[in-house]
Amino acid sequence: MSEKLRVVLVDDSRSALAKLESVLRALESVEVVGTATDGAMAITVVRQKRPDLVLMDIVMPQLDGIAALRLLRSQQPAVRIAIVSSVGGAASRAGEAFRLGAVQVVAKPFEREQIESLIALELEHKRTAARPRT
Amino acid sequence: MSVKFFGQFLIEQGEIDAGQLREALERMQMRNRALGDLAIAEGLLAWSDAERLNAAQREVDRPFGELAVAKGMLSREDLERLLCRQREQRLPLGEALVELGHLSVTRLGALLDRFKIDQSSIETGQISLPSALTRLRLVPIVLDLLPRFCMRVARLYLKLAPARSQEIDSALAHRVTLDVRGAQYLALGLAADGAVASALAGGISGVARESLDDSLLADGLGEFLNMLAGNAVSALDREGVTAQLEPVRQAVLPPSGHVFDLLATSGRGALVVRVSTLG
Repeated sequence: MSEKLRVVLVDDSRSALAKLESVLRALESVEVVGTATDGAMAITVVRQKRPDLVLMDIVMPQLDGIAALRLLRSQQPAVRIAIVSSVGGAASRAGEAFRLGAVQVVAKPFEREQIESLIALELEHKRTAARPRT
Repeated sequence: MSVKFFGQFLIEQGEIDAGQLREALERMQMRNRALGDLAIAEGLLAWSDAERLNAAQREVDRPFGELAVAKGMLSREDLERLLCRQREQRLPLGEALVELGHLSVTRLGALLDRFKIDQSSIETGQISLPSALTRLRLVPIVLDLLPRFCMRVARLYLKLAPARSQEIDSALAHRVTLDVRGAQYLALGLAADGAVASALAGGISGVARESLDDSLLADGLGEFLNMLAGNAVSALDREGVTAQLEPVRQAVLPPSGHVFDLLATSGRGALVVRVSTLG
């Protein structure tokens, strides 16, 4: 298993993707392996790239982030998904995302430290999961 | 939701107990030096000066440093330097708890995130709204958030006022619209000139302003509107009112609506708010 955390970014805004990528590029422990601009594309990209973590927006055309989260969790339960959305502060939306299995919900606009903290937790999870059970 | 400080929030969350909070606050008190102490340590003020200023503060509601400048005891440059040093040396509560081993760094990050969501309360702005808009709670929330987000995202100081004309100036060439659906239908339109659009798009994307092409400029402005509306909807959600955001539409504005002028230090824009019960 690769030591780097393999991440897919999903957002219909190129600006949001650019911002997330700039934060993640600065982290040696992360590799952005794919991007998608709606939920339907996210499902294809995740199937192809098999990332450790998906950072996904909610409000998107075609298939929104909540619907994509539901599908991804049922099709590929090992993939961990964090929501990064402007409606992430809405308790009803965040609650729904957590119930569907999101590992974290980050409200936009985010601080760099929030993403770094999320990545640190996910790296720790990856290392723990990779450790052989005795 | 109630306004609370981070330590109270941590106790409520079961992350620390009151004894640990007290320990952290004591550490902060030891490490966070008062401006007067810093000025004395640098030889800029004598003890007697600081005592006089402390006594004067009981009569006047002004910060210590401002009072010292007003009385000619410190120069403006010295005050700025001291404030900068004070900020640099400041030990926040979270870091104090980490130093004491009561929280891990990663846990602190996650908790700060949750605290921000919990506490992002909304204060309605002081703008007097047309009666058609006062019925909608979302509108004052949007108007309140807009200048704050401009500052936070793009360091753009912006004033907002109801427009005299409902016409949108052709110079405000960058335009985006977003629909909010709930009990009432609300369309929010944002128009900006090149200066405001590039400031917002640059802040949102992290891309240098000179490297923004037209497409990224429009996308960034749209993402800014999405964040603004999303956070307004989140605030409304906390009041028990649910609303849904639609994806942003580029290069259009609502066909009519209430217009607010946006005046930045450099550049300008307009916000268009259209209300309907037909959504």
